[in-house]
Amino acid sequence: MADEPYGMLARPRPSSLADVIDIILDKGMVIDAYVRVSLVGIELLTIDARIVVASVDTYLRFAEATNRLDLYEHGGKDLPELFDKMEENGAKSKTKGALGGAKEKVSEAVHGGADDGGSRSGRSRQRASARRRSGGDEEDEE
Amino acid sequence: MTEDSREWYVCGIVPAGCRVVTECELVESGPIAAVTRPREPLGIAESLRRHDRVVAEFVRQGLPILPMRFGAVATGHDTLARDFLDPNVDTLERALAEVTGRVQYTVRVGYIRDAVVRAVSVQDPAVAAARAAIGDDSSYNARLRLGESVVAAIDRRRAGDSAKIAAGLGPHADIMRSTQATHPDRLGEFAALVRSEHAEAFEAAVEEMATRHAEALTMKLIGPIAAYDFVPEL
Repeated sequence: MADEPYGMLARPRPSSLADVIDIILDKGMVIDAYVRVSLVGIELLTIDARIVVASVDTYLRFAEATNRLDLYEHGGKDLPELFDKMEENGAKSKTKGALGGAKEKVSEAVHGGADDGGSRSGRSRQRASARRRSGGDEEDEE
Repeated sequence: MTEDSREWYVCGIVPAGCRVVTECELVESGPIAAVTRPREPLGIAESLRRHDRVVAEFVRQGLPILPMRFGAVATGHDTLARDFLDPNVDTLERALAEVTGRVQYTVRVGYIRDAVVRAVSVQDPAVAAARAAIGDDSSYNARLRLGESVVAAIDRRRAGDSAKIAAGLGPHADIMRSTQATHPDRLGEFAALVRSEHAEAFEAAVEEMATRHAEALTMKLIGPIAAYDFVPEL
């Protein structure tokens, strides 16, 4: 029997606080304001999707990324097809209620101290090192 | 008789008569109950962790729960019952029924930078033009314009990519809600309400999609969690 496919899905179990903090701060039920309850004030840095403009630093990084491209040497694979594979799933969609507009929040008070203590169970996440050269700077760009 | 004037965090709404999870107390109102825990002077991080832990324990035990957004504090159980639970019993009971037997998963999808940059460089004429311009002029401004065109091209394709993911995972969920990201390294987030007996199939579908697109996308699966994205507005 052939080897099982190598897992490429990150599944932090248990989820760390960093994984769920956006959910428990931004989603969930809210009690109506006039009821005698109060929301604990938390300092949040909110980047509204409608007004965010990618920084100059981001643009330069993405310009530099094109320099790393080797458009003519990728084993003959037509890269746009990598994304077109999504259309191979012929199942009928039951998608409902798509929301537009992303709101990304960073909680300085917690991200500074939050431990990433949840152990990563299951399969480790491997990515061909040659394909990702952006290092760990994704989070820094927020 | 003095009313309870202690402060309580409100973590969620569950069916009345639920088996109580440690470190919380239930306040009942007819068929529903609020899950509360004493407000202690802990750091924010620890308070957040406790909120998550209490809510997650109900999910782990297979009990239906409408999770509260973190931070709701009630002064006294009587006040909570009188001012919040009693007036909203019907709404809360109906909403609780909607999440009974279901769990939420949140799928976070990102672009692998080199792959998406390569894709838009090949497909997008604006990027090709900006790249060509670099040949004659490798100035700071030209590089800035190139980077800007790449980011804009990623923005243009994001909606289509998001729709394809939603179409791939949607059949495995009762409800699927997608949110598009803004940062060029990110594609978006997908919140799925999934029937418990279908949870394994949903997880397998996400795993399969992650494997199939491993060279183009990063995917992280959070869950099963309480139905944070599928609660009513009050």
